[in-house]
Amino acid sequence: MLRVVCMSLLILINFVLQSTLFQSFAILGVIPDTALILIVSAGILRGDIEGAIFGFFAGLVHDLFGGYYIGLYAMLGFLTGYVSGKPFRDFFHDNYFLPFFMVVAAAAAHQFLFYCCGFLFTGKIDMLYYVRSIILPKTNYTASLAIPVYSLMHAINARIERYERSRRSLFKPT
Amino acid sequence: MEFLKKHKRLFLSLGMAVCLTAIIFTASPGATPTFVENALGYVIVPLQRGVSDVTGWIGGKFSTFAEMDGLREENRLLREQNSLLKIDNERLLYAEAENKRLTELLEIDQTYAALPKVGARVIGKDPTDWYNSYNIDKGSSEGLTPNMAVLGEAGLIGLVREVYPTYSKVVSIIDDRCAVAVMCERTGDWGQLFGDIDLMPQGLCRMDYIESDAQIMAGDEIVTSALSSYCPPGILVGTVLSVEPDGNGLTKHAIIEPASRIDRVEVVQVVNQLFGDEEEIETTGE
Repeated sequence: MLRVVCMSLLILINFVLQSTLFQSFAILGVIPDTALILIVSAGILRGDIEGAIFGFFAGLVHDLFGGYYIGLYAMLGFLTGYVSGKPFRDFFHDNYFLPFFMVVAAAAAHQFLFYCCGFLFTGKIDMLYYVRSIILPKTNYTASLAIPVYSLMHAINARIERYERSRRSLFKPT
Repeated sequence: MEFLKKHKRLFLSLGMAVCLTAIIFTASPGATPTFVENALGYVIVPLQRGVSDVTGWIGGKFSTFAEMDGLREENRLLREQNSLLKIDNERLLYAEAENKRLTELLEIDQTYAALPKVGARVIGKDPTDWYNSYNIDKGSSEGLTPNMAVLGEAGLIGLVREVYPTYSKVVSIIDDRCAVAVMCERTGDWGQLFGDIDLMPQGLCRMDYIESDAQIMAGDEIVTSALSSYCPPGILVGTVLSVEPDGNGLTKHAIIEPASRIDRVEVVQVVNQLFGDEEEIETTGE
């Protein structure tokens, strides 16, 4: 329960910050996609199913407030969360290299998909230009925040897990 | 949770199916806002408004110190400009009175003389960098409907796209998804104003479908035209930066610099009346 409340709050606060405060910190006209870092972190820390659920709701909030139609960001978040939860069993969660590289890959993939869905089929075929002017800066900016946001998520997750463990030992006779 | 872990394929396909259905059902324009959107609006809009206020306040403090010297100079220039404008204003008032008399003579209905407007604040911006749209803190409870024109400090900056009880989404004219019928004020050439992803970072947009023999040139002012389905005619949009021929030889396009600064907009005015729509003309005609 605590986990659900914390994660919902995290999604809401992140969205509000992205749409207001972060706009003042735009570099080369782009802002960091912190929602994506949170989704990847959730997947890495909690496995594919929970990562996918977290990604779905983080994307949904974005859809409801930003997009023209509902579902695109929710679907991307869902898939990203699921995929980034795949190495859950095989890696140490204190290792910061894996989340960093996964965030870079996910950010580039997301931006490329936005380009394909929104612009490629409307006649904007100069792909390299968009890679240079939006996709690369956005990926770089997001990557630079990957480790701080991941460690924040890691700390929150550790707190919640400690709390859940204490609850379990209260009710289960061991 | 254990059930889901055993049936991962089912979970994946179920999630994808939900998302795809949502996309298909909400992709049609003018889809009504859902219960979830309305409910979330009551949570997120106050938060966005609060954070916007705080960032605006802090940004204001910083810029006060940074711009102190510039402000003195600007003040002097504005005083000079003010005195010139006063003279102009007198002349224009005279012209307006004359115009009124002549119009009455011609019995032209001055439907658009005074536009009903409502002020609103920008509370959030689309976090993706592919589009340029805003949320404003007025919604259907203040009488807003989709496609109303949104004005910045000097002219048109966008159109209302979707309204919810407490907030609305505004698509700015530099957004790739926005299109408005416009005309060149001096020559009367028609055109269609489009946002363009290539020009969006510079805060510019383009006017397409101008006839190749049109006399439009750099420096001309562009206003909304009476052909527009939603906008009141004669609202300033911007000035022409350059005119270039299209590849087909039949038309040319112009690069437009909007009159209002779109990237740093904080307060907007919404024209809370639709124009050009048949039903609306009937109701205003009564």
